Amino acid sequence: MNLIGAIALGIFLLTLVASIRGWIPQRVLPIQSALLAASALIALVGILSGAPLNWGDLISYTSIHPVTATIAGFVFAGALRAAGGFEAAASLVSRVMRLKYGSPFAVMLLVNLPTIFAMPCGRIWVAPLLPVTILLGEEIARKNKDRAVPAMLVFGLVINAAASCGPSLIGGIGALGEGMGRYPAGSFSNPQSIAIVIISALVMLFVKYFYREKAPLPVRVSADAENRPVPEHGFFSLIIFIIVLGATVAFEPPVPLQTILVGLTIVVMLVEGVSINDLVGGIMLHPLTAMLSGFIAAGVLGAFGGFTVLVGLLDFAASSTPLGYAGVAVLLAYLPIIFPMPCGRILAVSLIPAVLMFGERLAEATAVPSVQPALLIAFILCAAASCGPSPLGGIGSLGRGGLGSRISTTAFPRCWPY
Amino acid sequence: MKRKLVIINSVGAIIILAYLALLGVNAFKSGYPWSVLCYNCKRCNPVCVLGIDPQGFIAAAYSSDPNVYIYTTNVRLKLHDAMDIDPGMEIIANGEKTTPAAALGKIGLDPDMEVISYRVRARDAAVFCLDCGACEKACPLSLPISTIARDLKKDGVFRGK
Repeated sequence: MNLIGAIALGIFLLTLVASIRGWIPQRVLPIQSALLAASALIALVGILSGAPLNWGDLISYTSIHPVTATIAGFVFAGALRAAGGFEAAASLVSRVMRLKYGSPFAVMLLVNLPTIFAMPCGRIWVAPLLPVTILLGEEIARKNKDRAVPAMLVFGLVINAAASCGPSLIGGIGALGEGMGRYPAGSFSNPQSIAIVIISALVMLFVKYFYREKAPLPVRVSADAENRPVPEHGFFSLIIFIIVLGATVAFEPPVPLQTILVGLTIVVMLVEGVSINDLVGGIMLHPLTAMLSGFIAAGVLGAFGGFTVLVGLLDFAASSTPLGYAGVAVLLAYLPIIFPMPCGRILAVSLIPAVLMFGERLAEATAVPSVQPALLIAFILCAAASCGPSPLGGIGSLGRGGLGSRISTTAFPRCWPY
Repeated sequence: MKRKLVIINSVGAIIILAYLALLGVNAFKSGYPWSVLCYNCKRCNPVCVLGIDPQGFIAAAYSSDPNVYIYTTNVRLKLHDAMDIDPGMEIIANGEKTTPAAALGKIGLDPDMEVISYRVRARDAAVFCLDCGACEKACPLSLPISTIARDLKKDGVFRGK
């Protein structure tokens, strides 16, 4: 076994567990700094041991697309907020709620919107939908006198959005897995979408019945959303956003999503007179820097053979322990949930070859060829959704921040249904 | 957060953002600024008959390093040829992953034995590339991926160098 790789893997896992468990307090060393320090330490140990560090190999582990798509999504969310798109959405939701079965329909639509129009990063949807979801949750909570409703809706939306990068055809994790496994593009999208809808419902049930005490919310008595004034171009901004993103998902034009979002932002700016400051105000640096620091750490780990050691350990566990290939395959599929990173791609890029290898061996052992794609889908879904429960700047942090609930405790409801 | 920690963590965040900027600079430096647009969806991957991961060429471009190792999983070659190309490339010999250097040295395999490539440097993968353009057709953004392979095939360096 490569000793440097083993040390690198040890440092990485220790940093991860220490940050997740709070042994490294976030107020002292946020995850970005912790991962950066771990990367520097791994590089130092590696270089001092005489192992060469190929800078290019390190960089090639970084996936730029989710970072730039998230920035573009945040910028547009800023424009939408300034143009009154959120007020327009709240007003629309309020009108839908007055219809027969309006509340369940509005909840169903809002929670599942990220999977219906699956984006390469769920943050693109969560940023603009979160305020509307909280508002809707408070309205229902007020009517039904149930304080768990806002948390149910928010975490349903969060897990739906987090996992939605799995079935996304415009550069999601699912596409990455399909490509690396040499499966046709989009072949895993439908089963993933169905699974995400079920998982979202399960998360909402878990928040209501099992984690009720841990996610309590003082219900703020909000003014009736319908009576709030909607700025002049609020509906225009919202409708153009939904139509263009829907068309992008449906038709997959050969134009980068980032360009489409920037184009939309410019249209909203011109129509509504939104300023640059409004756009900048929409950007949240934490998820971006957390994602990037994860890629840097994965790059250093890969460059010094850390992932090779991990695969070697899993192989050893499969051949020498009662777990066998079936047990290790299950463990491998859940690895992204056990170590939830701010972006599932951080582990997915490095571990998909191992998943394919284990899937192949399992298929040979069981004589069931569909085991390999089944394992791959399970891994992809876990990786995609893992940014939901991640306390290290995942999408769940946006939900927790929006609700004002405590960090980490609410990560559990989103882990359990997997 | 104490003042010292604020400074340390702020510097950390700035380094991370500078890293993002570096990727953009690298993409321009290598002569393929469009490489930052790649979705990394790997749709180009299944269509390559040689098992080359064309996205690897793009990653090499925004790394500005033609020596980045990329998956090339279906090129059959003699062990001594693999050794001549790159002793450090990953190959599959007798069903085991190894390098030509180890296969010839420690393991002691026959130099004329046929092996299958697994991970090779981008500039070596470019030499194997058939330039069929299948990767470009599969790309949802129609990125001109094969131009990188063509440039690397010529002299092993990127257009911008």
